[in-house]
Amino acid sequence: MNQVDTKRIVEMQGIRRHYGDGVSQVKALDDVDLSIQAGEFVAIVGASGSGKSTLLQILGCLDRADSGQYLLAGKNVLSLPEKELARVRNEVLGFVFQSFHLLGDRNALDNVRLPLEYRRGKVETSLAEQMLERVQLSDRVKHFPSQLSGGERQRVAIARALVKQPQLLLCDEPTGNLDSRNGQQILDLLSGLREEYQTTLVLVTHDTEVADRADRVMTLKDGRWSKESSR
Amino acid sequence: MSLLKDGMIRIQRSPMRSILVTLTFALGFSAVVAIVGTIEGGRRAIGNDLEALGSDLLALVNPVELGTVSLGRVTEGSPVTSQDIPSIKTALGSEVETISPLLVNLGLTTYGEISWRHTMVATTPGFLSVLRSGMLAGRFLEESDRWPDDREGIVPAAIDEALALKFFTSAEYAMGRRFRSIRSGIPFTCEIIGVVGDPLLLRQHLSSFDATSRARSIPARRLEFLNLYMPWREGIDQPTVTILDVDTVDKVDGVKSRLDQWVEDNDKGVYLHVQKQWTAIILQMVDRFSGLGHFIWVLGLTIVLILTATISLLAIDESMEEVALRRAEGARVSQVITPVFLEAGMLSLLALFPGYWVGLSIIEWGVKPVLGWEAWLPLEMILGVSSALVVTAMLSAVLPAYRVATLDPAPVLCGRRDI
Repeated sequence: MNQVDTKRIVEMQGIRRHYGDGVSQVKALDDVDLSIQAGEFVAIVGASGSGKSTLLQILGCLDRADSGQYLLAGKNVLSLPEKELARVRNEVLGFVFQSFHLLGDRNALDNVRLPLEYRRGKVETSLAEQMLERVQLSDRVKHFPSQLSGGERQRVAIARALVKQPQLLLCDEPTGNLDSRNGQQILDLLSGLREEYQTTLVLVTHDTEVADRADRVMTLKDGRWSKESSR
Repeated sequence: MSLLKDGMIRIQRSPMRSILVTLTFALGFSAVVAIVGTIEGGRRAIGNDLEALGSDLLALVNPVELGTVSLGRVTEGSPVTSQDIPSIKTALGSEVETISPLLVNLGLTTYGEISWRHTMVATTPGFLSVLRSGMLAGRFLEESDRWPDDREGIVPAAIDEALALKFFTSAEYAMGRRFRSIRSGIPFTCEIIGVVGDPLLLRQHLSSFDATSRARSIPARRLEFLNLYMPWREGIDQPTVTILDVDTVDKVDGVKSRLDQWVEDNDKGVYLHVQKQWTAIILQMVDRFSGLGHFIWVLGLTIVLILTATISLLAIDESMEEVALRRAEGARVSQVITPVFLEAGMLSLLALFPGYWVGLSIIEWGVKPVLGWEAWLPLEMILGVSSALVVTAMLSAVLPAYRVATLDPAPVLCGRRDI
């Protein structure tokens, strides 16, 4: 697992992200501050349109804030060029999406290997195999996404995110496309892996039951923090 | 290696699209091969024809008086006579292979029920070196061939292929035949000792139009050579034209300047015709025609580019989710656009062989039977048009690659609407 240089993995100040202009302007995030300690489990909740997905995209360096400061693992990522951001996404961040986003023409093992292909040196297939074993899919290694259930697909996606050994794991509604039983299993798996790998976990959800598992729950409303509670 | 694999996967993912793109490349390439092969083949055929006419020839044309009109007199002075030939040889030295005097008259020949007005040429045996096409049958005039002393004697004569075919069914059949001719009001009997091959290969091809259209046969016939070659009568005949056959084309300019000097020194009133200049004009016209052909194949490749770019753009829209995921997982822009270019490159390489084969088939079955000349694709042309196809393929990938490079992965993966 990569070493965390500072205790704070995320340090955001005055983050602003607006879409459009004039009367049709949408203030997705408006002067948002956020600080997350390494190893912490933070849930971000809010109604649809509150800005939680935008915040996750900026946290994941998939989008850039219009203004503000964002230090990720001590690095000011808002000023990094696109090439450097790609390396940050590959080495520091892991993503789990609601819609899994697996490559349909690659089997489970190749899907998990994918992030490693963008690293220098030989691709460690054994690492991907270990990760599939860890998410209890060692018997599904050669299966294609179409041959897997929803829960299995999400577990492949989690293995893909963790094979990079990220410092920060970002989950966007990871149980949104699953039934309650599979949803619970995925949450159990995420919690267990977080503790096992000491990974920081940020989870975006509108489900309070899911959010209750987090160390800290932060609520967004109209692009601003409206509430914060800790366990 | 991984990027190459991604390119292969992109090809395998949508077989129908890959086949369509390859087919477009192959058909485009076949059109290019057909056009370039035809152009280059045509250039070579015309070039050979011009070479056969002798681009290393110079001709001293004596003045001809047609009523009040004077032709051929460029410089002031007397005409070139057969007595001048040794002097010309001395002035020009060894760079001139042969000097042949030609007395050209219009005569009438009758064989059976056929009568034909055509040119009659009295010349020396050395003129054979000017006839690049050589003998189709028999032999050309030799030193031993002479005019008979009496009017009833037989004149040995060579005949042009086109003229032989007008009177007889074939060159072989013409050999040894005798016919009556009249030149300058004097009748005589000829015996054919040889048939001279037609120097214009192109004319042979154009003559295929004769069968379909009388109108089209006019320009074809204008190119026909209808000469009867008879022995030169030393001391009697005077040249209408004196042909100088220079060793090589590059020596023509040097010989010409010395010949100009000889004309000036000897007060000759003649027109100096330089065949090389005339062929250069023809070749320039051919080059212009070729330029138009090359424009057409560039246009063809542009259409291929637009078609394949459109197909690829549609395909890219289908793979946006994958591209966004790869970007999220740490792929750099160059790592997501490279497979797009590799795919286009691989498909174009796949199209090369079938495209080349179809192109040659078009020439063999479509172009050659109509125009008559062989396709010719030199190695550098093959490499050139192949490279042009690969470059076209790469260009067709630019727009899809640009769309991939500028993709914002966030809305694809998370959905921007749900802010």
